Amino acid sequence: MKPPALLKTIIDIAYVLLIAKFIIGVAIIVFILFGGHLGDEIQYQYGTRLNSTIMGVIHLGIYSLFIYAVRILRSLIKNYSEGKLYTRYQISALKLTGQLIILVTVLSALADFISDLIFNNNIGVNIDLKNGFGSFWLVIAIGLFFIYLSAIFANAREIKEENDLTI
Amino acid sequence: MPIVINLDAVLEKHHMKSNELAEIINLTPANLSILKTGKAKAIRFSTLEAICEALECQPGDILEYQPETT
Repeated sequence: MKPPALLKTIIDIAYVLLIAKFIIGVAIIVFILFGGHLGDEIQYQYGTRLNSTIMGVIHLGIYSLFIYAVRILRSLIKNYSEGKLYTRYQISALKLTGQLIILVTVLSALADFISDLIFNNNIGVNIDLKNGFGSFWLVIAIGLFFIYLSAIFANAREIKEENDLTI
Repeated sequence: MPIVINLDAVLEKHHMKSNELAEIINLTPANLSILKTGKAKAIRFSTLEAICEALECQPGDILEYQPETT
């Protein structure tokens, strides 16, 4: 069962762009760490250069987890195109993807909250209603859906095994 | 597993080989082997019917219940 070519293409392009963005981010952080100066007109998001560098490193760490999730998704789609369904790899990959999506979303929100608290002395809880349900909760739901899909695949694997051993 | 498949005994009685039976009942040798070795989870009535017809026997000749000793 081949996945749609459009899906594969979108994931591949997204993965390449994410990697490129990550490399640029690392390059900027390294540049700043080694005393580089971005220019007087640059306003650091977290007040000082040091604060912004620290938060930049934290966000890059969280970002790398997201890249890993997309990488797993990419290899999962490639695995589907090999024809076998409900394999142990697919079940564990779906679960891991869901867990990583949730982890990245929570860590990202936590990093924003803590940085706001520490660097801006501001406590705020933002309920984003722009997208109807809020992108935070929607992404959490998507992560949970992946985990649920993994459970469905595990169930399907059992049914398939039983069917294969029905003579 | 409490259900034991006595296919080997019936085949020997009829001087028939597994491969021959597999061909007659339109089953792959691999699937017949799964049945013979007790790895099968279930058997279709159509398969049981085909085996009984080929070997001129009753389902009870092939399937036997042996309770598990605990």
